Amino acid sequence: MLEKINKTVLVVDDEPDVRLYLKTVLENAGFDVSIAGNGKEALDRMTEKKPDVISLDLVMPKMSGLKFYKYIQKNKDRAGIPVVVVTAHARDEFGKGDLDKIMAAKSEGGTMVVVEKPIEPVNYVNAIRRVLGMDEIVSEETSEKDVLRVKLREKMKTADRKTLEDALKILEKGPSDQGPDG
Amino acid sequence: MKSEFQMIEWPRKALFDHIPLDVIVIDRDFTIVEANKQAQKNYPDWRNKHCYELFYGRKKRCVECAAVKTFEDGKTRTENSEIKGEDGITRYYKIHVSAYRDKDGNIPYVMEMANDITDRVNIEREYRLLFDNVPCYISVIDKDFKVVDSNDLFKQTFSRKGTQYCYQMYKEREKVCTQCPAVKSFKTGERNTSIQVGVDKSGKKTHYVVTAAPLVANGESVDRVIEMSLDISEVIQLQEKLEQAEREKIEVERFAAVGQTVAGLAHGIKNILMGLEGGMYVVNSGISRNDNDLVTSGWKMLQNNITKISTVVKEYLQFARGTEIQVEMANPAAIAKEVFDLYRDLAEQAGISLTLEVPDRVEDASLDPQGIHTCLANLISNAIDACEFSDKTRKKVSLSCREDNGTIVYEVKDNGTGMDYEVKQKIFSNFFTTKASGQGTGLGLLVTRRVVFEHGGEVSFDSVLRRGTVFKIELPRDRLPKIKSADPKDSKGDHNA
Repeated sequence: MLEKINKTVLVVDDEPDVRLYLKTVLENAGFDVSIAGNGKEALDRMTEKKPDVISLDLVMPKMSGLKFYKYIQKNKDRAGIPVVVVTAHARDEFGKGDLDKIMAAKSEGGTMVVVEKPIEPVNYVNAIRRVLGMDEIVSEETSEKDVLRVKLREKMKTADRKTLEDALKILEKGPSDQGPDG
Repeated sequence: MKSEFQMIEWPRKALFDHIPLDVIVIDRDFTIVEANKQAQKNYPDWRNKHCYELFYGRKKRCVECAAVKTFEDGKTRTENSEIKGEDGITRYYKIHVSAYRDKDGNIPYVMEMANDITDRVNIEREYRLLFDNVPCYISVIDKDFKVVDSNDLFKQTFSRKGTQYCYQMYKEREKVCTQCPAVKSFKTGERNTSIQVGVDKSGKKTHYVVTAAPLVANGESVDRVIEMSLDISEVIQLQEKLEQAEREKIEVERFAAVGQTVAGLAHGIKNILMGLEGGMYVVNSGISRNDNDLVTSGWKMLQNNITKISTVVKEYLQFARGTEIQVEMANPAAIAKEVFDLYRDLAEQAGISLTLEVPDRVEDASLDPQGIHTCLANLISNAIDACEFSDKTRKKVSLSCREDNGTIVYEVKDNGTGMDYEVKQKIFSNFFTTKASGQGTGLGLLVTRRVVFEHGGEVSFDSVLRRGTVFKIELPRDRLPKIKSADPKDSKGDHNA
């Protein structure tokens, strides 16, 4: 689990399973999470505590994601909250219309990102981070390599010619018998 | 030696003069010695003429002459004769020839009576022309079903070498047909009509409407029947093509429904897989965070989705099983009654009044009773759920079945939550459920629609939010599936009329 980020995400989804999953993913990524099962509940949660970002399911019975979004756009204070639209129906007749409408309803200067189901934890977290203006994280495997790369870059700045030549030879020989990733 | 021919007695003389025939008396020289009034009128210069001269304008006597024979043997005979008049019109006569004997038994004279049958011959000719050229097959049969007369069209179409009975000709059969209208006509002396399938000379199947009419006047026993048949093969062909097109249309609709269902299923399974992967993720997170509650929640999520996939797969298997619906004659109202009985207690426990409206009598129909049962059960179950979600005090669900202009109509009406615009748009278009997780698969209405489509029918609904919903199944009788008979083979020529 990464360090604690002092940001709250409101997850709105009618499916309890999806709510639990998204909540767990976000908590693992260090966010505070509040959850709502429909548009009305979401409005209650927002009154209790204003979220920094809303994760919004498009297709829900009773109050759809589109209706909820249009509703909060009427309030200046809430209209500015970045939104991540989560949908399994980006391309079918089921959700395509709503997706187009919500994109059209996006206020000027508003921030919105669409994430398609099935949800990959890293993609989802990055979408949340992106709308918050944060750097994107990378998956564990890439991140380990990236850490090494950064360290190498730092060393190269101060290394002498001989060390650099040796390092280059090692790199040109290709992967060692025992892979660097173990 | 010539003896004088004399008309002695008055009655005979009067008869001779006034009989409405041309009557002449000739001697052995073929000279006309006497003519009655009508003959005198028709042939004013008859006196002392030879008969062949007067009637035929010949110089010698005719080669074929009945009078010659009667002069020889004294027997009475009849001959037919055609005479071309000066106006160029041929007239037809039936001529009776009889001998006049003198005291010694000699035959010095012969009397010829000519009956003008021109009108009859002409009528017969017209009748024959009509008989031969009418666009129907006409045959006259006797009590043994032997064809004693037939028109040209019948001969051209059905007459084969060595055949003489109508059943041989029409159908290549060796005995009288089972559904023969002529049999009835012989029995009752009445006209009978039926539709038959025969085989023509070239072996081609021929459909025809046959009318059998007795050939005798009222009251007498029938010994001839005339059979008049009109070829309706083209009409039948068109009808078959139309039925085929209708079947194909239903098939296309059915495939469309199946396609949508498969797309829906794929979506449903995708959702469940997401649930399973999510559950795994949550369980793993709980383990690494050492959070027992999270592990439990994740495990529940896994369980839910496993339950869901098992339900979907079972329902889908049931759904996929019936590529062939099991059609039989069943009573539409009786099916409604069964479903009603099945849900009455359940509805009562949920505080919902379930009512059934069926008319006294609905005709049986060819349908899949199990399939229709499933449809109605799905709709009632949905209606009960819609009522349970509603906060009304009097919750009602009604099921009705009626017949409306040849269409069987089922209606399931509730005063439950009703549906908003979005739900209305989605209920048929895809895998969709508004029911709590794990309770609905979203297959119910898809199954219902598929079954109804397979019956050539339609499902529609009308819903007002907070007021309630009506689902309607309409099954036009003429589009219902046909019962597959155990042995569709049709013995040659035998066809139900």
